[in-house]
Amino acid sequence: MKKLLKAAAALCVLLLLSGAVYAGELTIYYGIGREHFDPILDIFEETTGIKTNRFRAPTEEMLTTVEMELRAGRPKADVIVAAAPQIMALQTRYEAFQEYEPKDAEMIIDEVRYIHPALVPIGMQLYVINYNTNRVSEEDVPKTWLDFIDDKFMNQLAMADPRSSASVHGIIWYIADYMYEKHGEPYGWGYFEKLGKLNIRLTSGHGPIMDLVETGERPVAIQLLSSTVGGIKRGEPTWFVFPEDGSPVETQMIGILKQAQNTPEAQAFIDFLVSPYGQELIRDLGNMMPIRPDVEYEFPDGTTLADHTIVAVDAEYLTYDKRIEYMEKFHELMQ
Amino acid sequence: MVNSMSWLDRIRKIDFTRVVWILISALLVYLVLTPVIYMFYEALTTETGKFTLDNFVKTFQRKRISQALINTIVVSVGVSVLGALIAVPLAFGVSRTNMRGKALVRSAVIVSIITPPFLVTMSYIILAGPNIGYLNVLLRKLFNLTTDYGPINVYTLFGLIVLAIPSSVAYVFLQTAPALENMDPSLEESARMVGANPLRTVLKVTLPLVKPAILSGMLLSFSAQVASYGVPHMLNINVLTIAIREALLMQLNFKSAAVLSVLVISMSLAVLAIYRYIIRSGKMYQTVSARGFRPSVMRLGRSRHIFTVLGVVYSLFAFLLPYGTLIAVSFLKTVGHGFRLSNFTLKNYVTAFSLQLPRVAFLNSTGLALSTATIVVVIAIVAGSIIVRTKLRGRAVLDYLSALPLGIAGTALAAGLIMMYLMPLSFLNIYGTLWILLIGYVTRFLPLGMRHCQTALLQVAPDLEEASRMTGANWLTTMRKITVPLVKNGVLYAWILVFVQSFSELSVSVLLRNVGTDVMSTAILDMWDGSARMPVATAMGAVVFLLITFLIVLAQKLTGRSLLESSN
Repeated sequence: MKKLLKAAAALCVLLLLSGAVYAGELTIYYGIGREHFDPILDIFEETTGIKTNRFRAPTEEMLTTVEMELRAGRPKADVIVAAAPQIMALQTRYEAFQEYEPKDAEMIIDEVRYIHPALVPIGMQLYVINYNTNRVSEEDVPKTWLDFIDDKFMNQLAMADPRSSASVHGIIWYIADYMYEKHGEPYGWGYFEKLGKLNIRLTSGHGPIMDLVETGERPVAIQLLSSTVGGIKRGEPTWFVFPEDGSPVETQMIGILKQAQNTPEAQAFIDFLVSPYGQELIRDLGNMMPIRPDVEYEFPDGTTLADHTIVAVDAEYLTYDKRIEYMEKFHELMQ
Repeated sequence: MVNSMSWLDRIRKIDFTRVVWILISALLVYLVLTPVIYMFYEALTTETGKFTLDNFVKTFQRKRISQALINTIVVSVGVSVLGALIAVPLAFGVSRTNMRGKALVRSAVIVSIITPPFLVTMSYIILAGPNIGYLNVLLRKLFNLTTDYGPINVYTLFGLIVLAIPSSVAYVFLQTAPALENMDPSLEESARMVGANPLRTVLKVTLPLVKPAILSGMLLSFSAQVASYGVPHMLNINVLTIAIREALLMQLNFKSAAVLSVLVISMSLAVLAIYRYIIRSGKMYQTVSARGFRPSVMRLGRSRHIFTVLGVVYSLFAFLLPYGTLIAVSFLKTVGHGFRLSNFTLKNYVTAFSLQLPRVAFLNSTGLALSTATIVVVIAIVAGSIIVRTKLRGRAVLDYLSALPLGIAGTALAAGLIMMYLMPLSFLNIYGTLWILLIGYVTRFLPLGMRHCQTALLQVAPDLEEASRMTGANWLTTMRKITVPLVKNGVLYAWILVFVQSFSELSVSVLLRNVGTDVMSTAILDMWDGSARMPVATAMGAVVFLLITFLIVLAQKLTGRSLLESSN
C-alpha cells in the first residue's frame, strides 16, 4: 500500500513538474485569412511549445465578438490581430489593451511604429487591382482606379463588403476622401455609386474574392496584394496591377488585452512576430510586407515600394463612428 | 424498523410517472421557453428594463430590415408554391403510377431533406454563376446566346428560391406520398364507374382528398425557409436570419436582434399552428382507415414517361448534378484551369484534414452529434412514453414544448442563447464553450427525436407494458425491460437521424462558435469564405455528404426503416 502511495505521489510530482515546464497557452482572435496566418501560428507553436487557441472571423465580426465579451466582462482572447483603424477603435472605446514594447521595437520602421503605444504593427497590406489573365485581355486590364469603373466591366467586378471586412475601409477612405480631396470627381462617393451601377459583387472578405477572380466568375476585383499572391504561387490564371493613381497601404496590428490570462505567452508571440524570423514568415507565408527594413522584400512582379505610389491609410481618421458612416453610406449607394 | 418501513412505503407510493413528468417539463421549459421568453423581454424593454415598442419601430425604420422581411416572405411563399407544384405530381407518380426510377426519386428526396442545403449551394455557385457557371456556358452554346452574362444568375432572390426547391419538394413529398399510398380507393373507383377519365378522377377526387397533406407539406416548407440561413448567407441575399446575425455580430445591437428573432419565431409559430390545425381537421375528414387496403397502381401507357422525366429531372438537379459537381471540384488542383486530366489531384483531401481547423471541427461535430443524439433520444423516449402511454393530466404540455423548437429558427435560438448566457446567466460561464452549442443542438433537434420515438412507441401495442405493470414492475422497470427493447429499432433510427442533422448543423453554430468550438459546417463555410481554397472547402463538403449518406443507408439497413416509411 505504501509503495502504491509513493508511486502516486511521484506521479503527481512529475505531473506538476511537467506542468511547470509546459509553456502554456495563448488565445488569439484574428481577422486575417487562415491560409495566411495559420501556418505562422503552427510554426510559433512548434518553435515555442505554446499552444494556440484560435478564433478567426471577418474582422468586423471578430471585433464585435470581442466587444460583446468585453461588455459582459468576460473576454476570452489574450491577443487581437486586426487592421489598425479597427483595433484602434476598440482601444478608444474600451481602453482594452495593455502597453507592451516588443524586444525589437527599435527595428520597426518609423512610419508604423508610433501608430499607438498599446498596439504593435506586424505587417502591411497593399490594395491592388486583381484580374483573371484568361478572362481579361492585356489591353483591357485597368491601369488606374478610374479605369476600374469603366462600363465594359459591367457584371465583372468584385470587392469586399465593409460591413464584414475591415481592410476594405482603407480603400473606401482612399477613394471617397483622400483622392476626392486631392482631385475631386470622379473620385469621392460617386465612385462607389458607379460601382453599384456596375453591379459589383460584394463578398464577406478578401478570401472569397480569390475564388471569384481565379474561376473568372468575377474576373476583376479590388483586392489585397496578400490575397493575390497565393493564387499566383499555385499557378492560377491571376495577376495584379498597382494602379497608377496610387495604392493605399494598411497596417495589421496586434494588442494584448488588459484582462489577458496569458500575458507572458502573448508577449512571446509579439516578440516572435516582430523578430527577423517572424517577419520572414509574415512575408513568405502571410504574403504581407514586413515592418522591419532589415527583412528584404520585393513584390511578385520584381518591383519595390519605391516604384509605386503608396499612401498609408489614415488610421486615426477611420474612427468607430467614421466606419459606421462609411458602411451606411456605402450600402445606401449600392442599393 | 417501523420508521424505515414507512419511509420505504412512502417511496413506493411516489408516483414516478408524475415525478418524471415534472422533471422533463422543467427541463423542456429551461431548454425551449427560457431563450424565447428572454428574447421577448429584450425586444419589449428599454435598456433600463421599461416596457417599450420603440425597438420594433427603430428596427423596421431601417430600409434594409424591411427589405429583408419582404425578401423572406417572397422566398418562403415562392419556395413553398413551386415546391408543391413539383412535389405533388412527383408523389403521385411514385405512389400511384408505374413510372420508372421510383428508387432514384426516393433517394433524391431523402438526400434533399437530410443533407445541409449549403452543400448544394456550393455546387450551384460553380454551376450557375452568371459569368462562367457551367450551366450558363452550356445554355449559351445550346441556344446560341450572344450574352456573356447569364441566362441563369444564382445570386438573386430567384436563385435562392430555386436552390431551396429540392428540400421544399422533399417536405411536400414526405407528407403527400404516404397520404396517396394509404387512401381509400373506393372513391376513385366510384368516380371511374360514373364515367370520369383518369385525369378527371385525379383532379376531382384524388387531389382534394390529399389536400391537407399537401398544405401541411407547404407550411412545413414555408417554416423551414423562414428559418433558413446557409443558402442566403452564401448567396449574400438579405433575409431575416441574415439580419439577425448582422444585428448581433456586426452591429452589436441586441435589441434589434431580439426584435428580428421575435418576428421570425412568430412567423414560424403561426404557420406551425395552422399546420397542427390542418393535421387535426384532416383527421376528422380522413379517408385512411384500418382496413388495410392499398389503392391500385395506375398502369399508364406512354404517359408514365411524363412522371419518369419529372422524377429524373428532379433527381438530377436536386442530387446527382450538385453532389457530382461538389465531388468533381474537390479533386481540382486549380479552379482557374477547369476539368482537365492534368488538373486533378487528391491533395485537397490531405490538406483539408491536415489543417488544424477541420481536425478540431471534426472532433467537435462528432462529440456534439453523439451527445445531442443520446440526450435527445433519452428525453424523447421518456417524454414520448408519458405522452403515448399514460393518461397523466398535463401530458400534452410535453408534446407542445417539445414541438415548439420547430418554430424557432436556429439563428433566433442562438441569438437568444447568446443574450441569455452573456447577461443574466453569465455566472454559468458557458458562453463560448461547447456546452452552449450542445444546449442549442438539443433544443433544435428535440422535435425530430420526439417525432420518430413517438412513432416507434405508437407502433408497439401497450399490452406487454400493461402486463409488466400488473406483475408489480414500476414505471422505470417497465421502461428499461419492456418498452426500450421493443422500440429499439425506431429509437436507433431516431438516434442516427439526430446524429446526422447535428453533425452538419449550421444556423445555431454560426452564431455560437467561438475559440476552439468550430464545427464542420462553420469550418466549411469559413474555408469557402476564403480561409482555404474552393477545392479544399468542397473536399470537406464531399466528406460530410458521403458520411451523412453512409449513415442514412446504415440506419435503413440496421433498422429496416426509412424517412419515407416513417411519414406514413
